[in-house]
Amino acid sequence: MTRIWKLAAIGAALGLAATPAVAGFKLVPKGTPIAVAKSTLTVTPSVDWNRLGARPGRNAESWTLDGLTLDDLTFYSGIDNDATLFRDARKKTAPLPRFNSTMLAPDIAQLFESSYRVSIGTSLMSIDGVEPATFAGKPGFHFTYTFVIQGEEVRRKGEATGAVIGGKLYLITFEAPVIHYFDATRDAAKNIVDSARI
Amino acid sequence: MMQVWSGLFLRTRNEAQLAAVLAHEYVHYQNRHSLMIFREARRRAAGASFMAMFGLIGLLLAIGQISAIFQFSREQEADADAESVGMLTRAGYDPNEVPKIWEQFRAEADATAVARGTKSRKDKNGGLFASHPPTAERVAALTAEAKKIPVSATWQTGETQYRASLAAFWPSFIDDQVKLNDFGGTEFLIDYLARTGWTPALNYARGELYRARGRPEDLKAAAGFYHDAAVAPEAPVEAWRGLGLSLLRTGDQPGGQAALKTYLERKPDASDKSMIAMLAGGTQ
Repeated sequence: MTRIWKLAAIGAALGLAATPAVAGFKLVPKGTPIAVAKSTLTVTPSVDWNRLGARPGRNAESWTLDGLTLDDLTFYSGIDNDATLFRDARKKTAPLPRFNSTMLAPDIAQLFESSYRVSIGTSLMSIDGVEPATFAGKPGFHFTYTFVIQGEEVRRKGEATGAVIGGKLYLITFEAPVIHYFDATRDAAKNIVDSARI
Repeated sequence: MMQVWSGLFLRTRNEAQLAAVLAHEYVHYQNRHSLMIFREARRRAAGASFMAMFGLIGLLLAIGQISAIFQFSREQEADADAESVGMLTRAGYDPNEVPKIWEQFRAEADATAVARGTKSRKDKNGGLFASHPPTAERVAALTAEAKKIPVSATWQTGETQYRASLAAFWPSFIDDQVKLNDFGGTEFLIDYLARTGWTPALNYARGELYRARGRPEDLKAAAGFYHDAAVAPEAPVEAWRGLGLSLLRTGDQPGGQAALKTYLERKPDASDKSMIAMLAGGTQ
């Protein structure tokens, strides 16, 4: 209640009309290998995707088919030691945890969970399974997760595949609402993960 | 509607403190504060938007009108505080517990700031648009309010009952807290729970906290805490998992793998068992 008033008041005081942030999307054509997140990580999509112009972090990039809230494929490419997964937007009040090169797969799953919990302000998030996997031809890990954003009732499901290569973290996550979208888009996302090369 | 978030249970230390928070919110409801805020806002909003049409000066006047709404809301907070003290006393609780909640919040904010190397946010309340009075002022007002009431020998804090009722929930509440990446604040809360002794569950929680921060010295400390937890028969089996992961990261491979094997023996259906089995050096 009070927060809404505060926002309304600030908006009114500044005489600003609400203008939604313009999210620019670029087409990512199928069949062509493309480097993601300004890094050496290359993937080959099996269907046309849309790349979001505003990147979630210095080493991250997001793609979608139907819109980010319906399906979200995010690449974290070459996260350095002592860096956050995505932009530390509320550094002063709610700083994000940082990656450490010595982290093992379960630690990385925990880092991911903690980053999400802090950034979307939810305690309804869990990592549901961590297992070994191959990522870009290197030994890596795979985990699945579920979460609900604070103040929403939409249950979302996701899966992440990645590896620590040369002390840097490479990770591709795919998440979508449990209802319809996760199953509908999962194969297209999985094809991208399987096509990853560094 | 009144919502109680689980984080509150980690921060209130007895029934009296929890009751004080509920009483405060109930006063807002009983005195129809949100309705009054709505009326006040409507009354001032028309004036504010009219003035905002007249350039910079008009805009400043408009901001003044709007900040008055927040002043009104701060007064309601003070009202709710004052009335809740009386309500608590009538229920048989010790009213001196009320200001302590705010002292605890302030101490926690200090602990958070120390660990982050930042300035404590204990006096941050949003300035002009604050909806709650500064906490130092609040502690003083609540203490004065509680002192007005003649002391009674029958006052209770209900601490024993509170701890007994919540014991089963602590592990999951602490787990949520650890994941908030607030090292100082979390350690402050765990230390308080441990003031009557370090139980295996609390040592495990401390291990999780230190391992999550993950500095080399943290991992060593975490291994120690997990070890203290794991030797007790009633320890959570995850203590072995934490011990193994911490030892592996400090370079003690044999020790780490042995601990992870113990974890898998004790929790064969763990959700991360194939990954842990690989780290433990065995085949699945």
